[in-house]
This record gives sequence, C-alpha cells and structure tokens, in this order.
Amino acid sequence: MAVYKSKGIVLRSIRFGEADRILDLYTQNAGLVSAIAKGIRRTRSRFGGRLEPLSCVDFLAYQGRTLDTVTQVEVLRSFHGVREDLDRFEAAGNMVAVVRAISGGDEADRRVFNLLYHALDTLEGRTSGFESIKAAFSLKLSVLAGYTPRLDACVICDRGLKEPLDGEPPYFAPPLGGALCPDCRAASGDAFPLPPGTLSALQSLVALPIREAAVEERLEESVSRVVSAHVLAHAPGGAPGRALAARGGAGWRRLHPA
Amino acid sequence: MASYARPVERLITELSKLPSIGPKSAQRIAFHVVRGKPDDARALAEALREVKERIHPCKRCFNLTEAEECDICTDPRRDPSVICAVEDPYDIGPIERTGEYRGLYHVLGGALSPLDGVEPEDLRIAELVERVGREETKEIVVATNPNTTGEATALFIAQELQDRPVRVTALASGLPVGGDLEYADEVTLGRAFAGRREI
Repeated sequence: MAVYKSKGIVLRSIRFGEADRILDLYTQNAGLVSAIAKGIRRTRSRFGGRLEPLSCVDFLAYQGRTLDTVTQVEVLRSFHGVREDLDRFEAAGNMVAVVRAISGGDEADRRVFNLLYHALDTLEGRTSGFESIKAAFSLKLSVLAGYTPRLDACVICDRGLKEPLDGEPPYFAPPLGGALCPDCRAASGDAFPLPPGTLSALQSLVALPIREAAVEERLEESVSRVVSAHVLAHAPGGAPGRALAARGGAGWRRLHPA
Repeated sequence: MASYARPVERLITELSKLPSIGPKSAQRIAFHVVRGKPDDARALAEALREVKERIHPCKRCFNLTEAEECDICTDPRRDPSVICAVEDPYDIGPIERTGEYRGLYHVLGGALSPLDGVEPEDLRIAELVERVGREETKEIVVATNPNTTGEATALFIAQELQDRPVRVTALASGLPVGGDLEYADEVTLGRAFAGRREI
C-alpha cells in the first residue's frame, strides 16, 4: 500500500458512515484526490478542525482501491478569515465549483494549486472587490486548462478589438471561446453584446497577478456574465460542478431584507 | 443468475440502500432476519411501517413527532423565550441529555454550503425568523455543528436577525473534556484561548 505526502487544499468535505468524512483535495502533486478521514467527526478525533474546507494542509495518506485514507495532517494556512465571512465564503465556494468543473481530472498541475492558494490568500486579505477575484480566478483557471478566451481580436475574422471601439459594441460568443466583432456576431446564436470597457477589464484580469485583480463596479455584472458563460461552455466537469459554476456571481440574498 | 432466492435478494438490495450498509453488511443482516424468529421480523417490518406512516415534522419547530406539535413544544415547563437552532432532529438528543437547556428548538434541516450548492432557501431559516417575530423570542442559541458549513449558517442567521430585538448566541468552542492539549489542532486551541474564562 503506497504511502504518500502532499500539500493540498480541501475543496469539499462530505459526511460518510458513522463518524467519517470523504474529502476532495486539490493537491500539489496529484491533482484532485478523494480521501477518507476516519473518525474525524468525533469530538476527540486527532484531526480536529484541521481538514475543514478551504484549509491548505500538508497531509500523509495511503492509497486505496477507490479512496485514499488520510493518516496525518498539519495545517499550513486555515484561511479562517475566508470561512468566517459570508461574502468571502460564498466567493470561495464559487471558485471551488469552477475548479471542480474545469480541473476535475487527476492530472497534477501545480499551477492550479498555486492559483487557488493565491486566490484564497487575496480573498482573505481584501475587504471588498470579491467579484474581481472570482472573475480573475475563473479566467486564469480557464487559461491553465487550455480554454484561453480570445479577447484581443474577433475569433472569426481576426479584426483587432482594442478598446475604445467606434460604433457598435463587440460581442462575446461562449461556444466559440472569445469575442466577435459586430460584423461577425451572427456566427453564434449565443453571442451577447459587451458594454464599453468590458473587454479591457477582462484582458487586465487575465494579464495581471490575481492580487491586483480589480474591476470597476459598473462592469462587474458584464464581466461576471462573460466569465460564467465561458466556464460553462468549456467545463468538462460533471453536472454538479457545472451547476455550481453556473451560479456565477449570485451571492446569498437576505431572506428578510432590512 | 441470482445467488439466493428472489425474496432474499430483494431484502439484500433494499438493505444496501441504507446509509453505511454495504453489500456484505446487507447480506449479513438479511441472513440474520432469515434465521431469526418470525415475530422479530414482523416487529421490524411494523416499526418501519409505523415510522413512515405516523412520524412527520412538528409544525412549529420541525422536530419529528407523531402529533401536530412535538412533546418539547407542548411542554409548559419549557422556556418559550429561548430557541435553540439545530441542523437536524438528531442533534436535539445530545443537547437534551446535558440537562442544561430548558428552551425550545428549531430544526433547520441542514447547513449552508456554497461548496455543495445548499442555499438559504433550502433550509428553514425563513421559518425561524418568522417564529422570532411571532413568539416574542428573547434569545436564539445557534447550535449548528462547529465546522465550516455550520458556522456559515450561524453567521447567516445572525445577519438575518440583526434588526430584530433578539439576542443571537452560539455555542462556545474549545477543548473536549478528557483530551490532551498536545493533540489539539491550531483552530480549536485558538478558539479555546479566545474564549478563556476566569477560574
């Protein structure tokens, strides 16, 4: 039985059996791993609160036929600041859904691990602008997964789309994976127009480090729409991941507004 | 070809659908029933039938009950000004066994989890807020599980009730009695320090 050690970020934790939990971890060395933590729900479990969702941990596990079994854990970063704030936690939930939708396979990609770590770090450090972090994360993850959206030119005719543009606005066609000039908009029935400034905002999100992600408030909705549509159109992950990713920027509404 | 007679296979299949029961356990339980006394099997069948036919959620707190309202809601000795919000009906038992709590309950039906798509509308949070307005509640004790989803639920409930004249409290977290400090994790130990008390 092979024993291995890796760094991982806990994406999900579901109850299993009497007192166990099944965890989905995005690991540095083995991509997405499912592992069981035995007895973790007991109050005297040696794991305690070390394997809560979003925690970045150093863990030791042995491989099983279907599930690996976690035997030792050390917390590297608990990201409790993200978990203890509803808006941050909701944003992190959306990022986790996008990871499951786009990078659901077991192929290891350290860049995905690093991106998720830095996104959670940025989310914990900021007091606002969570939408920008979510959008930047989804776009960067799409790029790492090989679904780079084309934002500098029309995907059909190659016409440059550097803003500010004269006349009609450019369009975004999710199934074609990029922007369309007004003349080519009929190429996709799903294409939708982009308000001025959206393309530049998207380009900045792809180019700049995630800690510098910033989108003007007036563009947040259009940027979120492009990002969710792009992820959904190219997500190879299963239905649950797609459904969660589809929720895009929708945060929790108050049930009884003040 | 099936290994066993059709009724035995059917029993194994039905038992396998239960949580934590794999095919081997299902087979073991099925053969225990086959070998056991007919009266024991009938009593089990009757208990299953009865629980499905007679048990339903209390219309006030959503605990499981045979009547319209559960025994706790109808007990005149309970303090109606305090409501303890729990995730599931089976969380009520351990709290009752402490003998420390004499208020009422509210079963939320789970915990918020953006990681699994469980949203406020999926829980009975709106019903809790309505109860607070209707029943002149003075305190809500949020006793969700001390994990990420339970704490997100507690935060959401506090946010929902922030404009109401009601005190919202949560259970303390810290070290389990009888444990060793050496094995405590950083988060639990940190909380225990934050919630330290005078002795």
